[in-house]
Amino acid sequence: MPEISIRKRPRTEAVVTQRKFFKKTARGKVIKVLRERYLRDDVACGIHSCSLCASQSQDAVLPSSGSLDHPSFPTGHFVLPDTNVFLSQTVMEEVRHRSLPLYNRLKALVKADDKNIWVFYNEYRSETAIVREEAESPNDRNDRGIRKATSWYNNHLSLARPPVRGQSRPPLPLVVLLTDDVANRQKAEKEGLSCVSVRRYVESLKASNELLDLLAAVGSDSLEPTPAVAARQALYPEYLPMATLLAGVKSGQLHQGHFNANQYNYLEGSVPVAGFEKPVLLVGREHMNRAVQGDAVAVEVFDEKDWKAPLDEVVDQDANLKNDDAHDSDEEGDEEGVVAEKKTRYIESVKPAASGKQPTGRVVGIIKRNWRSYVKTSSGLSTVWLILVFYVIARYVCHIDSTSLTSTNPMSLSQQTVFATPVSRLLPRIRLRTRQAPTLVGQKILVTIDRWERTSRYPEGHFVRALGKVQSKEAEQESLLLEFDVPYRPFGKAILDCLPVEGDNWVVPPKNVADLNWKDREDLRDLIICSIDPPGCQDIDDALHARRLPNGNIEAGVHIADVSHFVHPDTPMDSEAAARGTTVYLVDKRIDMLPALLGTNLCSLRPHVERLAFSVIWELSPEAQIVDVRFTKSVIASKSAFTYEEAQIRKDDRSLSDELTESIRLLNDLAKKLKEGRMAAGALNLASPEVKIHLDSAESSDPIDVEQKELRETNSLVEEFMLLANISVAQKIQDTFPQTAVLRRHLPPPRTNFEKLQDILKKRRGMTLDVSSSGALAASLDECVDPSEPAFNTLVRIMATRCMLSAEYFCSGSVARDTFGHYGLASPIYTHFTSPIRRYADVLAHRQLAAAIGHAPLHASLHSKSHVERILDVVNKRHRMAQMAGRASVEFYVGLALKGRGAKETVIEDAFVIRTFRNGLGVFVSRLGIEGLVTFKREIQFDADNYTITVPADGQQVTIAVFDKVKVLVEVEQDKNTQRGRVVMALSQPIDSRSL
Amino acid sequence: MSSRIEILNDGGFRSDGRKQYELRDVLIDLSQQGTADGSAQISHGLTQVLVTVFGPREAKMRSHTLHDRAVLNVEMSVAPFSTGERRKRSKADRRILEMASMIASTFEPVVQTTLYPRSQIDIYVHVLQQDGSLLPACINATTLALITAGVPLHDFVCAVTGGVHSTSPLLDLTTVEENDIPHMTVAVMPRTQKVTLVTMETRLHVERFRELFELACEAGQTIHKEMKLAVKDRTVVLVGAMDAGLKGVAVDDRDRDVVMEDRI
Amino acid sequence: MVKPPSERPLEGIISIHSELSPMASNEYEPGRPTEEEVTLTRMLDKVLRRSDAVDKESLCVLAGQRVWHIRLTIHVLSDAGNMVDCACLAGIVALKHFRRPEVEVEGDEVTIHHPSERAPVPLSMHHTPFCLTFAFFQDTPPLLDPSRLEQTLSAGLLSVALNAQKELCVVQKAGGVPLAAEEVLGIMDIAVVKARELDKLVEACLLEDWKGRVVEIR
Repeated sequence: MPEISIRKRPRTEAVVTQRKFFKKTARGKVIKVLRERYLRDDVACGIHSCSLCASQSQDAVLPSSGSLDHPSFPTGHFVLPDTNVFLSQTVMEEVRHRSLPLYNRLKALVKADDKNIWVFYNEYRSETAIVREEAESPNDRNDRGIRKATSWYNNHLSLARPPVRGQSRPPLPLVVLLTDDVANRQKAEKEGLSCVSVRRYVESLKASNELLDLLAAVGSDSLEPTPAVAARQALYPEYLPMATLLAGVKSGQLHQGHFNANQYNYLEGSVPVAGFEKPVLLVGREHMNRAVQGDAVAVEVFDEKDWKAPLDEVVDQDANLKNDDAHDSDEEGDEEGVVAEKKTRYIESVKPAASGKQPTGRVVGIIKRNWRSYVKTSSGLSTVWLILVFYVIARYVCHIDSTSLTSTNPMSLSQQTVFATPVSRLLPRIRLRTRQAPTLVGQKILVTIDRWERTSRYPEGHFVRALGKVQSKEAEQESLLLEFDVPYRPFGKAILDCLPVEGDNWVVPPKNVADLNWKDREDLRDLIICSIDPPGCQDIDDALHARRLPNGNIEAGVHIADVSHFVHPDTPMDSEAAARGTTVYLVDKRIDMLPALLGTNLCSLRPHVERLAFSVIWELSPEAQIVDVRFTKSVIASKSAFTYEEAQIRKDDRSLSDELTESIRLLNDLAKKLKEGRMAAGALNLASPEVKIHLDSAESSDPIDVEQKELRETNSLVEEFMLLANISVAQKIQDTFPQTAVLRRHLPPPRTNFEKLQDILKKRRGMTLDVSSSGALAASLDECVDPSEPAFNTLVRIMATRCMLSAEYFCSGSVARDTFGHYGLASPIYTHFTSPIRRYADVLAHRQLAAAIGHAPLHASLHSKSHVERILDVVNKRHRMAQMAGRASVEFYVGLALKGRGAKETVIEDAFVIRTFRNGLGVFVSRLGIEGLVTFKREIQFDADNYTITVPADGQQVTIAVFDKVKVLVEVEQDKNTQRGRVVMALSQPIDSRSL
Repeated sequence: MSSRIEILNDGGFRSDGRKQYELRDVLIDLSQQGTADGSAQISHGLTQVLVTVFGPREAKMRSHTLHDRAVLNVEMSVAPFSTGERRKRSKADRRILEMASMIASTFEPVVQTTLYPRSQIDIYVHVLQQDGSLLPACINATTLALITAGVPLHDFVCAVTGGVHSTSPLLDLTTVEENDIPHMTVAVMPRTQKVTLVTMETRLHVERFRELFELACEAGQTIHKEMKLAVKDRTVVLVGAMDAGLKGVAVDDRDRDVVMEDRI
Repeated sequence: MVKPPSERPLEGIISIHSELSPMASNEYEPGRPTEEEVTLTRMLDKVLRRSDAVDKESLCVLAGQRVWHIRLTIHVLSDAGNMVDCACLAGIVALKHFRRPEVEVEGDEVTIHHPSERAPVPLSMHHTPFCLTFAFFQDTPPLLDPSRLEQTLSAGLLSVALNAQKELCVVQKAGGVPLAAEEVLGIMDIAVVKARELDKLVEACLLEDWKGRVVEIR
């Protein structure tokens, strides 16, 4: 049992032992606080074998002779630094007050074993405790405290080693005060203390050069203004009133657009606006003015002379802002230096890269927040639609930054202000107050942004819910769904009530003309129909057939699941499907658009069962020219469900000649001709990095390997017929409903998008890219071949794909007739019809087609242009999000696989350089399908015009250019603060960048 | 500001310079308070409580008497100036009511109430300053006030708070500490070493509880020593005064007699 | 859904009410709350609310604007002793069983989805505390879960609230017969075992109940 004692506090010294101060609460109330302080004589000095403190300091770490290796102090010395090797408590507390993360790092430093550092608690030692005098600033008070501690130490040393009679007094180590504050030094000298500035101290050290370099960034010997001076200043300019914004946008003085953050540089953003070819560049926080990714903002564009080029540099928010303190928004801290430095670099960079200049401006107001959008009341058809259409993401998946915590004590009950770092690099850190901070460290959490005040550097938010441990699959999966705003809730009762009451037992009723199910349906049950899909596919939307007609032509049919038979307009199920927009495929999970009963059973065109279908049947000439096309609702019975591989094997097996195999061969021949025709018309053969994840087993689902997807002839077979069906349907519904047909288009990319790629290709490889038309582009892409590097062509295709716009759904009446075209497919008109189970646009196309052939009247909502537009807006967004979610899921598993491999071996992969930065490289690892960044800590030469960087290594200069093949070391590193796993790449060939 | 304070720093010091097992300065004043039969003012650091005891005396309301013992009536009031933020607290505040009822039930088995059937002992608790460990201060002051009033007790009741910061137990918590860490109050009877009150309202693991509980019981003994010393000192002063001369004291005694007569 | 108080803009509100009517026991009188009632309310408050069983931060919908206010009312039908434990158990099970409607926030607009539209969601719980009361007597060993008679005759009560993870939330022994330290700690050990049993029982019952409710077909 430890000794329990009562600490006596002498009442007579109440001035020293009691402290009275006023503080302002969060709500702005001023309250008086009284605290007491117990002064003691047993605060150890930390010097080994000190005779005065022997009883209290068993673990004293400082050698009794002091440090002997500094030439200026031959008798040995101890260093007592001011703000920044005795640390006094005053210093520690001031650091803590200024920046918690810095304090936490300092604490770790003190604890490190090999450091001779002792924290002296001067404020609790009776001799050294001081009281703030009237009209004394906190800074001066602290300085005085440090001086007092210094003089006490000197005194203490001489007392602890009294001269022994008869012997000469041993030389006493000196306690040296280290401070950069001139005023403090002067006062100390007056008091007879030895003190030096950090620079002087380091200069006279033996190995001073290296240390001086580190000091270079530190300013001169002047007194640094305390953060309190700058307190509560507005950090951002005020927004203009909404009326002014709208008027400005109308008159053309301001421009409206959506804010895009730069994922490489958090201090840069851009806003694509209508008036300019290139997006408007926003440089620095002040000009971005609190805009968050996706906000609709109004920007003011500067005069052309102030235009800048984007800075090709990676500026990592986490690295630069690690000392920022969650508690005080107004503390400028050391980030200022970084920003200032950046600014000067901008000025430099303008000259060489004058050609890269783009309109530059600043945000003057937010028209609509992405995270706080104001719902407009609209004359929608039903209230349900309203909710769906204006659904916005306002929630972000985050991690807690552990160094921003005041206390990591898991039992702490107090509310803390901490930083949450969003998983997406496009979002700023969010400051939030929570009582659960310690338990949330290492978890993925959901955070909502509430507001962003002018005076606050970061937006403020609140904690919504924890998703689970970082790196746990459940948490990662859920966070992924939330991040991309995928609605993954279970289907509600109202929705499930829309399903057929028979459930799984529903069958196509026996043929009977009176039966509603058979109304206007063709009986195609005898046709030899089969489906070809990826392995493990459960939601089979499409099936095919082909047979020779007596006249020598060929009849080919595409049969699509008749989803619109089950999903009726204006029902809860329809609304939900519209809101979901699409089925989302993740590596290990599928989030359905329609309840599983429909998706994987009733609508799925499974083999050997009768199913309702919507058929497109062509009569094609042997040259694959369309002679006739008709559309009909039908009943089919698929004869078999193949995988691509099985179909391929069957087709290639010469020994087989049954009807089914013949039909596949027939389809394949036609598909080849169709493809030829398409290519001749100028369709693009684009590439995107697609990889496949092998899961170990169903239970553990640990990925064991990553491989690139293989494409077979049969993939192309299915693709061609689907394209044909979509085009035929698009023409039909466009003819019937010219105002409201649901179509899909791919706009030709603006030529400027290709400028950079063209320039790189020309300068690095001497190749040209003709972008005058899709046909020309396709042709010139075929020319971009490096005989020694087969993957080069794929790389160029990937990069070209990135220059293009994304395809989108649109309502035919909303855009000009001449913009209907699909650039990538080189088709004048296109829609989506073939996957109604997993895409909502297809359901709409089905309804329109059914109306077009007189099968059923068109629901009123599909006659309304504005209504169709609104639904398609949502579907477009969902579609984009679903793609990103799918990609992110693959990335996560690639990360896991890498981690697994990384544990066994160092992972070194081939990579292509795709971008050069002022301080790094962007590389693409084709085998893993991931992109990564290699950054250099050392200064490197960057040639923006020639897309090269030159790295000094071992005396020689190594130049790396875009398109160069390098080897990179891939690792998955866990961020210490946020616990966020991220792929880190380092160059291993031609040079090892780790040493740089 | 409060979140800026480290509860226990690496040097083993708490925010006010104490170490883990050090209690705050205890100051006891047992001087006479007006017409009260017994009174005690105690401060644990900056927490200051004054308790006055009246009785045993005849109950004001007959319905509230018990035929076989005295009834303890505890009333508690918190001075508006006791905290930094001035706020008038009503006496019917549930926290205050609960604390009063806890004090009453703590002392019911300790006071030898059976000696005073059909009477009432009034205990008025005034909180003058608050800086954590309020309930222990009230209990300790009540013990002392009952002693100075000459009410027979089975034993002292000595209370103390304890808390756990991460895994380190702390004793005698200030407000800052109470707001941040799980804590409990324990009242012990030092002679029998028995516990008469334990309360805890925050989450704490059983093992930690055990550790802290034993420590707090021990700390009760330390408080007891201090309280006993104060009682002895006062007795010495009283005896000294009686010995010094009968004049001055006689007047007092006569007054006292009058009061006693009034009561009977 | 209500506007949160300005001092806690980020937390939802839980309020607990207990309805004690003379119907429960002839000890209760209509009108003025007795001391027993005050104790019950305070204990419920400590066990269910102050122990942070429900994640109050997760009840925040729009910071400073809209939070969920969960109102838990305990109706005492019949009191045959140890009301506190029974009420606490009823309260915690109710909280665990309860599902609130799903909400969606778009800007300042809050949409509450009808349970038929979207499956309602359970409250986010930090832990499940159970309250256990022991009665002490001068010369007999302590009894767990005292009946009304035992409660009246007892020389003191000790209430412990803890969860299956061995975390104590409330310990309440005000006065009564003084106990030795070992006795108190012995009680804690028993409480730990009992809390585990209760936890298992409650989880099993909830599971059983949910089996009977079809929320989704996937």
